[in-house]
Amino acid sequence: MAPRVPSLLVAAVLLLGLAAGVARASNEEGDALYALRMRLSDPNGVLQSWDPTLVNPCTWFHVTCDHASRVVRLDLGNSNVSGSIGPEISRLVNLQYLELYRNNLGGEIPKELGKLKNLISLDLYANKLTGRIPKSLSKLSSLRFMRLNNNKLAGSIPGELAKLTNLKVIDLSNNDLCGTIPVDGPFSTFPLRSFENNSRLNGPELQGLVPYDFGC
Amino acid sequence: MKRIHLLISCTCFLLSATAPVRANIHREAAALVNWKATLAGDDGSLASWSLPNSTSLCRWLHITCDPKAGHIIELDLQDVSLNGTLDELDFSAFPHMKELRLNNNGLHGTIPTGIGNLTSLVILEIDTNPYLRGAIPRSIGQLKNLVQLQLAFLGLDGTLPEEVGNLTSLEALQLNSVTLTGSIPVTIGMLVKLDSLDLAHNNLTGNIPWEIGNMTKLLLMDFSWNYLEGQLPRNQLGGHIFPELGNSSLLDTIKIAKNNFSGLFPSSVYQRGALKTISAGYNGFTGIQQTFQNCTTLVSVDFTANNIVAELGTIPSWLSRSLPGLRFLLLSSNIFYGIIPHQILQFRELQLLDLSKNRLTGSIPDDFTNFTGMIQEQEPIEIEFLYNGFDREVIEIIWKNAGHAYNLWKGVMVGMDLSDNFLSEEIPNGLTTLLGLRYLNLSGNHLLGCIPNDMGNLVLLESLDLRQNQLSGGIPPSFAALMSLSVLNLSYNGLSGRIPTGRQLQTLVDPSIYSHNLGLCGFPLEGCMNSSTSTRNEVGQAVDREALWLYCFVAAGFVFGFWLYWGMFLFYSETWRCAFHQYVDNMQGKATKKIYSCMSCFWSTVWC
Repeated sequence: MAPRVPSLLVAAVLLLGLAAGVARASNEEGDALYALRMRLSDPNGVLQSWDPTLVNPCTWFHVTCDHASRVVRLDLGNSNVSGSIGPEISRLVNLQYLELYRNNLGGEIPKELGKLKNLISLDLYANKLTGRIPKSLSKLSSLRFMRLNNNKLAGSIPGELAKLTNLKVIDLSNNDLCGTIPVDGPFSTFPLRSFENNSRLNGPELQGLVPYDFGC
Repeated sequence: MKRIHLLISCTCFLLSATAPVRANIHREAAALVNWKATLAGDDGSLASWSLPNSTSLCRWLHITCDPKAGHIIELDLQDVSLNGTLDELDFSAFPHMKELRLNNNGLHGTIPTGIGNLTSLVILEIDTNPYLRGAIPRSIGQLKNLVQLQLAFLGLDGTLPEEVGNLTSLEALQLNSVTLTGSIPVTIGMLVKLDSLDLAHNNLTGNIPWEIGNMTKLLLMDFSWNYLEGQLPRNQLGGHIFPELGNSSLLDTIKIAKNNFSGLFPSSVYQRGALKTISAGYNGFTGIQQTFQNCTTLVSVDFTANNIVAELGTIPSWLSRSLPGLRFLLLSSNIFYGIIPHQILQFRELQLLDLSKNRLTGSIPDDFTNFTGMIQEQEPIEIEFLYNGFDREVIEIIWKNAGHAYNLWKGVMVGMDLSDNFLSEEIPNGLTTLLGLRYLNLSGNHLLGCIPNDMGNLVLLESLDLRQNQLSGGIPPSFAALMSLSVLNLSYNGLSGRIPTGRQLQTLVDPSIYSHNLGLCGFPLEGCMNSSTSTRNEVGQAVDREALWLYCFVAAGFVFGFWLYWGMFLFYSETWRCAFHQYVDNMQGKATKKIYSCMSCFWSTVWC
């Protein structure tokens, strides 16, 4: 009888801890989103409903949660926001759709985005993003849509992106990319217009030859 | 000499006068230090608490002293990571303490009976110490000066002691989420100064004592999330809760959701002037007695998931101009029948309308020109709810296909849910003028006709659910303008044509949201073959043509066979019949001979 009571207590404590942990997790995602809000300048007030005192961000506008109150979509396309994306977004581990297109976002694409294992759609097009396309994006194994067009991205297209076997649509046009276009994996299906208007892009990579550094 | 004597005696006298005071302060310091020694941990801010330091007691962290007398009047140990019990704290050392706060720590053990020694206490707050157990001590009744008693999110058990009725100065009683069991003691009626009564999220059983009617200053009453039951008495002997509460013309908030109440929700509740919130969801109410006739101040009415059987249109006073401030009307999951009356359009401030899961018939009203609550985007102005407690004004809404607790405080959500009824006829064009809508759910009805062309005007719409209706025609091209849409469902209708393309629409990639329609095509479904007609239509036509030919041939075969046999009876004369038969026989004979000869030829060549 005596040994049973402590184990019950332990179980109760664990349950409480779990409950607190779950609650905390939802709040963690709210904290991550709030950190993003702090980075952004929001003249249209689209983030006004983002109240960190709420138990989770699931009733914030432009945020979509699943049945377990985990954030699965962030829809801020065409919202006139500026600032940088920042690494905090990578804490939304269940995120499937990251829609930040057609804004005035600057800075680099955070390499931490590579942690979003469930990401299906990455739409950062029509912003003012600079820097390279991070190699870590090759870890987005669920990714089907990658649209980074109409930015100021430089550097080469990481060959590792060919590992994204689920990738159906890519758009890297209208940037400042250089080097060659990968040809293996899903890249064999992409039309050339997905890469157009990159003045320093040299065309499809020629396989079988010694790689030539084009000074990219 | 005499002067010196006088001086010395005066000083001695003064010293002796202050001695007991100093001794008391020393006692307070000793009590705190002795208690601290029993704690397993804290966050380090108690380092200044030590006996050598006792002369500077009033400068210790978390302590506030009376500036003149020097004794402790406030002890604020919120968020100090205390790990230990209260058992060794000598409460009798603090006869002058006015405020004690122990929120957000790791205290365990029980609340000791010694707490009754804090006779000057005005405010007692012990929340969020999940390991604090045991019952509320009866000695709590000794705290005659207590104005605010707040115990929440504790692991307590046991009942609310009757002695709580002795706290006649009490203005706020908040015992939220402390696993109280048993029933509410009738002595609670002695707390006539109470303005806030919060017993939510416990395991209370039994009825609400009618003595609560004595609380004429009550602003908030929250009994939600318990197991309370019975009927709320109407004008009957032996039970006059709410008629008595009518005496509390200040009553602002009634929260009794998630209990087992039954019967009629009495009218006398809302006969006075200040009621803003009625939260009575998830009970077993069967009706709402009379109407909210004189209740012009109502802002939020929630009767979700009861057993109310009523014709929606015959509660006219609800829906009359006497509710100008109504913003949230939630009547989901009841048995409301009849049509949605036009009077509902008179609620100028209405932001959230939920009539889902009822038995409503007829058409959706069309004239929304007065619906200012939904026509424009709502600014995040704090709606004045007096209650500043734990549950705030939280309701559950189904938002983007999942249930979420929505906080009414900021008041920005705008939505309409009429799903799972028997509504018919077309979706009115007037709905497209409600530009403030963030969600619209009309699924599970018998709506027909086309989706209004101007649906794309609802640029704030994040969730649109029209599934399971009989809508026909195409998806309006204006859908491409729905820039905020993150959840869409048009499945199980009769829609056809090309799915519009758009920047936001192309992020809705799940084909099941368009499934079970007549002939939709385009991303994310199969591509459209033809610019004017869909592939499905063409294939359908081809199949039809094939079927037609099949029928023709079968008919021809039947006619031929019929005449071949029965046509012979047209030949009246026997000679003609015989001649015909002979002819046919001859032909057969010739054909057989020919085949035979050919075959023998063939076999001979093979075997040779």
